[in-house]
Amino acid sequence: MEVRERARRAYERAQIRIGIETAAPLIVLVPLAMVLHQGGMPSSVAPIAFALAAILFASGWRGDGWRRAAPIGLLAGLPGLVIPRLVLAPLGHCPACDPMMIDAATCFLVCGGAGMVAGITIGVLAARDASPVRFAIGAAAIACLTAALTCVVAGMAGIAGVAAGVAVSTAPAVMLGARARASL
Amino acid sequence: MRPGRAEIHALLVRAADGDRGAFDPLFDAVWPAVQHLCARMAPAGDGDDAAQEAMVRVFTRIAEFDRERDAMTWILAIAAWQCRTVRRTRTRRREDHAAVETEGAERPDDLAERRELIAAATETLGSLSDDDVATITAALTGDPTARAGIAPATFRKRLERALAKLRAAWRSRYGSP
Repeated sequence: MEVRERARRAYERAQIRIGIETAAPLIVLVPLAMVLHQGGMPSSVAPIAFALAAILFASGWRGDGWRRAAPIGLLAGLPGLVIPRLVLAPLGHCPACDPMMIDAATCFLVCGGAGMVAGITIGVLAARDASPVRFAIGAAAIACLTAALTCVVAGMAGIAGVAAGVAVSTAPAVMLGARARASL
Repeated sequence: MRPGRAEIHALLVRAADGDRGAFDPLFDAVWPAVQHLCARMAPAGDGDDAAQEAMVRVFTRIAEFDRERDAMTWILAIAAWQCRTVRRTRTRRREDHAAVETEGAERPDDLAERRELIAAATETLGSLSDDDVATITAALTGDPTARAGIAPATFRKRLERALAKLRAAWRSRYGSP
């Protein structure tokens, strides 16, 4: 086999390894989500965990802005992962883990707020990245899914809250960053 | 024009970031230098293999590249290490081969035993008549002058007789043939 081909295969294997390493934090996050659900794991969490694993792997494997976005997205999604539990548990919603028992407005506000925090963080960092759009899209998607690991208990309202929060706060920052780059 | 160290550094950083477009330019930029280094450092005949393995290792370990370091130095350090590994492997193989050859040689015990056997055979042979010894020697060496004037059938019969006497003499001295 030609040396270039051997080297290219070695390079691709290295990228796959990075992809796996990028998805590795899920080993901690999924059990954490289960703990936040008080030992139970709703069936809706599994697809989100799989989607998050897939997107983390793809980000790590693809590289560039996508790869840099992965750890930021995970960190930005952590408040969304923890806050609903901390805020809603005293109200008695989360322990029941029953969407019918949850006040959708409260959930939307809490998850949206957590999403806003994540979005601002992502937006600021994306504006500084070499690939701001890729960074913002990747980090926002990962943050949404990370937060959704617990927010999904509240149903689509929670996910929508996270998504809206990230999107609303990321978009202006990305646009400002892109404009600043264009003016340079 | 060959790319400079700064360009190679930028290419390696891009490749390490997952930019597939940087692979070919980086490969083309560093391959001649790696080949040249391995041709000088690796044992004769192993330079090309060492260079190829070094390139594979560079791209396998690309994620470990520290951006603060010089890319070319990092790549050549991997190539130099690979050459050292090849040289060490070659030396170890040579040592193993030498060890096998030493094992293949006759051990002192075997040598002493063989000498004793030859001495015993010579002593037994010495107990035979001169004609019998001459016949056996002629058969063993295949010397045609020793058989001159003797018909082949006669020589065969003499040899059979001489060997029978030798066997009997051996048996009387040492028991089994």
